[in-house]
Amino acid sequence: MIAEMRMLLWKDFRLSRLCIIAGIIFTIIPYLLLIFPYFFYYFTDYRFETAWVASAFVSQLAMAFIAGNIIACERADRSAAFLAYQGASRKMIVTSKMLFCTIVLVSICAISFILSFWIKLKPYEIKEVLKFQIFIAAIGFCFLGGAWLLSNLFPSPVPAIVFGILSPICIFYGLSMTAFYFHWPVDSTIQYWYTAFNITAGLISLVAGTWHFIRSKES
Amino acid sequence: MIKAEQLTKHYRRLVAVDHINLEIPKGCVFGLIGPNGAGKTTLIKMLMGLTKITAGRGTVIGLDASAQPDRIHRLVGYVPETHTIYRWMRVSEVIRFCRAFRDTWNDKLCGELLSTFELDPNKKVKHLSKGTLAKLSLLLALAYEPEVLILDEPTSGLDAVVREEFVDSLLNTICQRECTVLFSSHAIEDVERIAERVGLIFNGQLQLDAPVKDLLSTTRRVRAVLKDGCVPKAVPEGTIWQQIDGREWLLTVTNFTADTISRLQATNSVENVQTEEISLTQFFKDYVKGRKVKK
Repeated sequence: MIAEMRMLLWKDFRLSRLCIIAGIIFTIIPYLLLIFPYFFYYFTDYRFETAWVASAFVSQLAMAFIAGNIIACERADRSAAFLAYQGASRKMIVTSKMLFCTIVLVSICAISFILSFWIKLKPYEIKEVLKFQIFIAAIGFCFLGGAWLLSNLFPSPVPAIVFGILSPICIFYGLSMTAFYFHWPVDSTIQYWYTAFNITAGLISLVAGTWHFIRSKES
Repeated sequence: MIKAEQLTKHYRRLVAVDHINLEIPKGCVFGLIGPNGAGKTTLIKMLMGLTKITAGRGTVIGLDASAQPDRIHRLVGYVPETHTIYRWMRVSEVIRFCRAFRDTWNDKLCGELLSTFELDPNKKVKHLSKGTLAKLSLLLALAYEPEVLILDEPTSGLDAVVREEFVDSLLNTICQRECTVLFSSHAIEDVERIAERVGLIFNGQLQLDAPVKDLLSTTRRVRAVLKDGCVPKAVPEGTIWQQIDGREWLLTVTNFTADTISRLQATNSVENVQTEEISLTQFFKDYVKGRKVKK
């Protein structure tokens, strides 16, 4: 069982190698942009903090790429059929994929959290950092859920990635419109609602996608 | 070992497999033949638990294909028509990957097969030729010494030399171990070489299930010359195909006995009757042509 899971995780890692590289690039790019202070002259005091925020957010995009690819790309090249007759149960396959996505999501958040120490955010900001981290992780989770669901339904990763990326954006606009029409006060509660909606949407999509995966057959 | 009971598959209105009953005992090498779209692959996929069964029941090694497909996949060696092995893996990586899922994997046998098939472990799958890919697929199916082997047109698209090598390797395996084999192919000569029993699928139905030797020993191509101005009056029982070209009347007759000719001569105005044995390929062609005419 452990050997099987290890092989499945290794295979998922190899399949998602490019997406992981993309995630690393997304994480680094905001910091690299600091090389050109000309573009950041207006940030002056907070340029590292801004880069950190941008990096934390943009690196989550990797989740949409990974989740969008993880099922659909195997279907696109039909290697999913090969895996189907190797004897790994659908539950085991989906568990390895989900475990892999979770590892990546946690890693992205951990890297971002570690970087927050590296850029020496003031100690009193740690609570804020954690709050922001949860907010960003929720968006990442929504990217993951949306892309995961469509990755199950389509044999191409493209619609899955696009849907994954659009999901939190749509939630944001939906929430903004609701707040506008119902005259909600624009304060931090909106951020909590947004986090809650992202987590809920991500969870529903993840469950629906998983349910579909377990029920379907590859042939 | 392999059993299909009233196995049926519908794709919406299309009936791909229609109430097939089949039983392949332990150690039997069963060849499945049929024209394109007859339902061979669908039948095999249902038995392997790779596609949902509409009605009926399929069992392999006593395991229900609907309820325990994962167990079947672990115990049965399967070579599909299209080899969809991960293209980015190296041969050694594919072997290591598949090995993890097989409790009975035999490293020694795997090594032997690697050298027999002349497979380079460091080569990437995407760089393998179609024939080599088929051999790798066969290696992956044989290396854990399964009791049952199911091969779905494994030689399709291979050139004559590679096909012969593939069939030789398969024959070697069958001879060395008591292995139950279900083998579907368009290359009827391969089926004739390997199979003890043959099943013919047409329009989703199993039209015939008989030992190859018995089938060929009781089937004859009959060449009769009709008398001037005469037409055939009574077609012999068991005729699967016939053709009239001028005075020449060609027939393929199953369940052929010595009586068949005397009855043919008694009921028809024929001058000269000759018979000859036919190959399984010829039998298949005649059967399909005959069925198409009937339709």
